[in-house]
Amino acid sequence: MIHVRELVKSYEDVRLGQFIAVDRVSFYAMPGQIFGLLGPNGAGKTTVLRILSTVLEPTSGTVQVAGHDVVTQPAMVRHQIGFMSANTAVYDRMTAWEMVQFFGRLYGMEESRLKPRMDELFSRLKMDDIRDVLGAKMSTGMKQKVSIARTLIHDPPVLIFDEPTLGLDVFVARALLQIISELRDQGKCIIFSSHIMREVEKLCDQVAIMHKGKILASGSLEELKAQFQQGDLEEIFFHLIGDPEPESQPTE
Amino acid sequence: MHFSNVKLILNRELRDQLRDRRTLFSVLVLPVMLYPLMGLLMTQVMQLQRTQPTKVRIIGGEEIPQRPPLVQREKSPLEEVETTDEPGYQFADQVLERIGYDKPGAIDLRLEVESQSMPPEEIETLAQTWIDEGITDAVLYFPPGFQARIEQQRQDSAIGDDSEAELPEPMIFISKRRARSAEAEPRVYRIVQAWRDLLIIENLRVNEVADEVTNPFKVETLNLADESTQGAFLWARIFPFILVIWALTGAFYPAVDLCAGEKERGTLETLLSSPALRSEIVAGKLLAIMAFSIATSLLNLASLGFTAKMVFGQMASPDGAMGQMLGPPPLWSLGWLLLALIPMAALFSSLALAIAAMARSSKEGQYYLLPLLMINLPLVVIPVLPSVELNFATSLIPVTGVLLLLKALMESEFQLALTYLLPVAAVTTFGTWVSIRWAIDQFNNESVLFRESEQFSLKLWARHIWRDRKATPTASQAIMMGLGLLLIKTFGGGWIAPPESALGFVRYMLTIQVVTILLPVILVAWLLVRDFKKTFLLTAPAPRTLLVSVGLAVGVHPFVVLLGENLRKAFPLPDGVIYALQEVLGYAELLPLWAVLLLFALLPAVCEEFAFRGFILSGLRRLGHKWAAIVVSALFFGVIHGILQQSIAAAIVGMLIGYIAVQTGTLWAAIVYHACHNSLSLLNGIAAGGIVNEGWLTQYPALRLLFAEPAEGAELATYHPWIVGFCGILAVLLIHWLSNRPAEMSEEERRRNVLDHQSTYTKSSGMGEDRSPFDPDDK
Repeated sequence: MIHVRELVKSYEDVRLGQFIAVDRVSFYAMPGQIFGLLGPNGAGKTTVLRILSTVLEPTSGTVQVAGHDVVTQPAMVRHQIGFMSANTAVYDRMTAWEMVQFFGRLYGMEESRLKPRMDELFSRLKMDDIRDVLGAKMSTGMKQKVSIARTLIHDPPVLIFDEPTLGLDVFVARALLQIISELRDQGKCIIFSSHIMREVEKLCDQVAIMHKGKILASGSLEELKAQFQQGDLEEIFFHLIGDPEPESQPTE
Repeated sequence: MHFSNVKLILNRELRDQLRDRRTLFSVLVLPVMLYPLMGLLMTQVMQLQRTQPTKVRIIGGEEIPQRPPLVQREKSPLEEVETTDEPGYQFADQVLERIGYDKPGAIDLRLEVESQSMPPEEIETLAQTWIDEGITDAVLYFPPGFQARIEQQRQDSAIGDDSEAELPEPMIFISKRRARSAEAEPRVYRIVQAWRDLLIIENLRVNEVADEVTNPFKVETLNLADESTQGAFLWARIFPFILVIWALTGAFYPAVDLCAGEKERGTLETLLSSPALRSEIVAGKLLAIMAFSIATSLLNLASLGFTAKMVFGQMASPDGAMGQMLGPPPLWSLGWLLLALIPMAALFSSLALAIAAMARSSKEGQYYLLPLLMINLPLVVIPVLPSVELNFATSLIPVTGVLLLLKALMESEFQLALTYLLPVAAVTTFGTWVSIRWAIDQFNNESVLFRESEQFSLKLWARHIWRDRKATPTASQAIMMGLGLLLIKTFGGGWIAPPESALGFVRYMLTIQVVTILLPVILVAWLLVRDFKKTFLLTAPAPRTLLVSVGLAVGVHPFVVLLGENLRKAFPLPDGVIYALQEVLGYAELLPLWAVLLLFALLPAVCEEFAFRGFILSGLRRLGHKWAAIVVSALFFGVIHGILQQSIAAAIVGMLIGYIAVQTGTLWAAIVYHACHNSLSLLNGIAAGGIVNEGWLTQYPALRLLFAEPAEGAELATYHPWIVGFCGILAVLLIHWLSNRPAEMSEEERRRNVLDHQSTYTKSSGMGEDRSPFDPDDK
């Protein structure tokens, strides 16, 4: 579903000159699986996910999402994904209902399909009481729910969550992780980025550890444990990042 | 582009703005409140102003001749009341009557009279102090001996003595530094003139000459404009001004909120990750901004019109002229206003959108409004100036052209308006199109969408420019280069001494071409660009390509001559320009023909091509639009020619040369075309006998073969008709050959091409149709 090959993203920075945010990253994510991107802040996770969602363009390498290339077919890619990140905020001057409806229509959904889908999402996410609340008046948790509803409204085959639990309290975070794992069970292809080990450990089928723009290691949790002979993800993580000259190359 | 998505975004943005209190205030509340309040203030001030009388002090009352009287004792309004005070003075009734100052409510004059006169040396300083201290607004001075002189004159003229001696004259002292004093001047002057007329009549009467001698006939003005057009005349100047200022302001605030504001609130990324195309997002936002621009402008006009009607209704002046002038504008003229509002709103909205997309935050966005207004201000003020008329030159100025066209329409000059409709529409459409493309590019440009505020440091920035040089210049560097060359030409031109000898002429041409064009370009390129070969298209051309260039230059030249001739007929060069040109060109006659060809044809071809088709065109091609790059570089090329008539032809030829450079991928083809074109123009000039010496024509009789005899008075010889026909066919064939060449696209152009041809989701394509949005497992 998602195929990333030799992805490079570099920026021009006034201070640093050419700054490589993502350095020859390759990975493959399949339907019915959650692919976890684990890495500290500034590792390049958000950049990779922004490229997947066509908001940014790759400098080189190829990225295919649901069979469409992000460079040549960005509109088709966007139609096949639901993208939610800390940077995709909710409109202040729209109610929850209006916001989800607006995006549903942008995805080309017909009213006859949109209405029942919205009713269903609102009741499943327990959002019926904030239906007519303006975005500006919502709490962080409410906003996050609206964002989830917005991401799921067109029932995309690919879902991209960039640090979705950032700033949420434990209850909302737990409910969100619950929803994400349900979506996996429905056969969605999910990419999930986080810097919280426990979340990744609990949720993800495949994990890639990113640091300074590179994927240092990837595989299923068991494979990683076996490869680095460490007990849990946290140990593997520090083993990799603490190492000044990581020898391991990105694996497919 | 799907219109349904545009409509969705438009509706959302409109609702969003209508829920924003700040926008509502500036769009709806402010105009509705502003003008009535201003009107109220104005009426108050006007009333205050009117109660202030004009104070006049007469020095030397005893020097005023008694017949006819200039001043008289004041009549008390209540005759019966006995006052102990000596009554004051006023100007004599018959004087005031003569100029209509006796009507009630006309002009309130306070008069003081000092009967003793004084020597002229003293009065000036005294009058100065009085006026400065506000004791009086004007001093009317009669010098000693004035009355005696008048009496003398009266008797002399009876005898017929024409002796002209130095005679004492009366004077009016005012100070233009004080507004009230300046206001008093015409009033006092008219009164003195009226009195002088009466004096003449009196003199004639004394000498028994009939009055009619002084007034052999009367002249009257009859205003043929009907009342409604008179109102239109004034409104045609005021309303367009209001229209533009508010169309711009009304577009700017929503634009900032819809772009920079969305970035700030983090919703832009949400929208960008939706399937809407960038062009759909821009179109939706643009229409929303336009709606606000039009609404703001209309509300302001309505509120201003209403207030004006109320205020001027109250200020009805005595002769009613003012009321008539400022009456409400005729309704049909408002129709034109609405019609002009749409293109103006489109232009400003797209401009505001592009600028707002560039801003990182609303605060930064607001900073851009003032410079934008300042740039627009002269464009808005030019049409208000009384002497500016709609003509070909003014119709080419953006905004100004539209306003002048609007003025012509409101003044019912339809013939004039129709003549220049095309250039005005073309300029406005082009401006709007460029702004819209710019806005879409901004939305496609991730460094603009995601740029973060950086601390600005000149040193870091300079290092960045040097260290991170690109293969070819950026588009903004190209535009800066173009503007820089224009600046050098404008300000550097004065430093280059005009030639005084043949050798001086060679030096002059070299200075103009090499120092002011080629050197700056090479220097800047050396600083900013890594790849000279790519920037200046220095690939070796195939001989065939060069032949095509020569062929095209020959093929197109007759048509350029035709165009030039027509332009010259339509807009004759001012004599001063022709003279200056001839003076400079005069020295060329002293040189051999090959040297003149080198100086006029080859030298400019090399220098200008390096600048315009090299640096500027290569930089502009980074925009990703081949034709935009060609047109903009041609416009720079045209403007640098300085004289409007030349600029138009140069811009058109510049487009063709730009096309040649793009299609062939080599600058040499452009240089060859340019050199051939210039040579032909020069030879043509010789054939016409206009520019240079006759000797050449006898030396090279072949020139006669090419060109027909010049028409009487024409500056260029026309071609033999059979040559024109042949050339036309040749040009068409060669352009066709060029267009079939696989032109190398820049990286940006390739990218744009891909984005413009991407497939989008459509309901009919079947995608998503076969897949139910409800997963069976969905709970």
